[in-house]
Order: sequence, then C-alpha cells, then structure tokens
Amino acid sequence: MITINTRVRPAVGPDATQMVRLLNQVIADGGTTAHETPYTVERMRADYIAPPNLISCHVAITNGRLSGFQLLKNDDRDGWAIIATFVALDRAKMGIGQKLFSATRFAAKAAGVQTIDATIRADNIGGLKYYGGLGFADYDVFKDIPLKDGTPVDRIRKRFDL
Amino acid sequence: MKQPRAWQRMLSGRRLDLLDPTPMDIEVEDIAHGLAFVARWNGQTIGDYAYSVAEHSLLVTDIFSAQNPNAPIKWQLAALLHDAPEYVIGDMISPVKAAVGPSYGELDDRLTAAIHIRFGLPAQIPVAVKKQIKAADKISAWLEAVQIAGFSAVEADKFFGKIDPNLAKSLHIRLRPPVDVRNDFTLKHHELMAKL
Repeated sequence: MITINTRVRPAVGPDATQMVRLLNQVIADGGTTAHETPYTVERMRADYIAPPNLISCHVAITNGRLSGFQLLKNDDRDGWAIIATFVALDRAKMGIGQKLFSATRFAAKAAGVQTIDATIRADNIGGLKYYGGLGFADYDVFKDIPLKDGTPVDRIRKRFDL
Repeated sequence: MKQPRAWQRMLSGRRLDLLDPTPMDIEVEDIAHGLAFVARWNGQTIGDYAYSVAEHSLLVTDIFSAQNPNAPIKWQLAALLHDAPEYVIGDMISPVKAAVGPSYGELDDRLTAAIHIRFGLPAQIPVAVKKQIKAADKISAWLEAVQIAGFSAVEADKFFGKIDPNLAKSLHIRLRPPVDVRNDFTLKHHELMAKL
C-alpha cells in the first residue's frame, strides 16, 4: 500500500524551482488558472515567496515532493487579504488544499486578517468547488474580463470571514 | 525505509517538525525557555552564567529600538525573534555555520518564516529592516566579544565593525540566571504583541 504523507510549511527561496515547475505544468495543461504565461524562478520569488505585501506562502510536501502552494497577501482594503492556491495536476483531490488552507487560515488570524478574498475564473470549476468547500461565499462578479486571447470570462469573487 | 525522526517534543507538548516546521506548533514559552538555555560563543564566556541567546535577543531589541526610534512595533518584535530558530537548531558559531554551508541557512529560513507567521509578522521581512536588525546584532556581538568573550577592541572592530565609543560605554552585558532571562523575554514578547 502506498502511504500519502503531506506536510505543510512556509515557502523559502530554494522552493522556487519546484514551485515554478508545478505552476508551469498547470499553465501548460491549458487549465483555468489565473496565470496564462509561464513563470520564472525570479518571478516566483518576487510574486509568491517574498512579495512586499506578503502574509504567508505555504508549500505542501507530499512524499518528499512539492505538491502545492498557497499564497496569502494583504489587499488594499483594510482587514482584507487575497488568497491564491495551486496544487499539482497529479495530486488533486488528496486533501492537499485543505492542509494548505488550515495553515493559511492560522496565518491570517495571527496577522489580524478579517476577510480573505478568492477571485476565480468562472470556468475554473475545481477552484470554485475548492473554495466553496472551505466555506468561501460568493460576494461579487467581475463580468467579462478578457483572457490574453481576448475570450471574455467572468471572475467570481468569494470571501471567507474569519 | 523508515524515515529518521525529524521532530522534537517541546516542553509545551508541541511536536515541532524540524525540516517542515509549521507555525501552529510554535509557542513563545518554548522559544523563551529554549533560548534562555542556549549559550552564545559555545559557552566560552567569562562569569558564572552562560550568555544566552535570549539575553542577546533582548539587548539587540533595545539597540534596534534606540537606533530606529520610529520603527513600527512589528519590527521590534522581529528584532526580538531574530535568533528564535536557535531554540530548535541551537546557536552555531559563525565559523561552523560557514563550514556547514547553505543547507543550514535554509533550515534557519524555514524556521524563521514559521515563527514570523505564528506571531503575525510577514513570513519574509523587508531587506532594509533585516539590515537594521543585523546592524544591532553586530553591535551586540562587539560588546559581548569585548566584555565577556576575551576579544580586544581591535579584534572586535575587525570581526564586527567599529561601534560608537559612547554606545560601547553605555551598554553592559548582563549575566543572569536563565529563569530571569526567560521571564524577561516572555514579558517583552507579550508587551510587543499587545501593542501590535
């Protein structure tokens, strides 16, 4: 029997390489993630591991390999923070997202965050289900925000109140 | 193959994973207790008590606050916690750190991030603030070197940089029983958290 062992800890500089690989696989898969262009290690460090408005960025390690990561950063709105989550394509539905959110929620509370915002593409069914399952509730929609190729897609805005 | 144990049971009862530390397993009481018993300079200091990392952290916080009077409370807290990972990985003197290489730094970074998140600080603090804390850290090291570790002022200047002579005269390295230091560290932490 294969045991799945997932641990979650804060991301540090050297994690960038594996995070880029994971995110670029998700992008290349043509999925419905917020990003459309491949990432570089430098950009990963600047946007996810150490952005100026960082609260936390956690990585999940499943059987020794990076299987997901989740960012929480301060928003311009007072008391609000923004969340972003990525899980490896071959590690979906294994509870990795739940483990990441339990760490992120703890970080949010410690940092005094009141509300977490998740803004998701309307065609990202997995993402909508994931946040909905965690208790995020719809509060707004950005209508017809075009993708790089011009296709209009709504963005569903969900909130989680701590 | 069974993986070797990579966690330690802390006095609070928390089981802290050393390689993948999570903020949820961090308690200030464990940090204060641990740091009050970790000796700087490998214990090669004069006197009847070790100069602990907890005592050093309190001094660095004072120096940092004096040098940056307008610094927000959160960065004072970051100064107090600047060596907090040492409650898990011990105080490794600089020459040993250099010999061990970058993996030590990564372990330290993971713990730092987890500790920061635990207390509501950003996982990574701005480089400018890091530099200010490092400057206070060097002043403390200079004072310790000269007052209790047997360095001459000239040697200390070479290793830690020259410091303001007035500052050198005004600050004294205290040697106290660990329990006093532990309590002061915990108190300072609570004070700063309450003001955040």
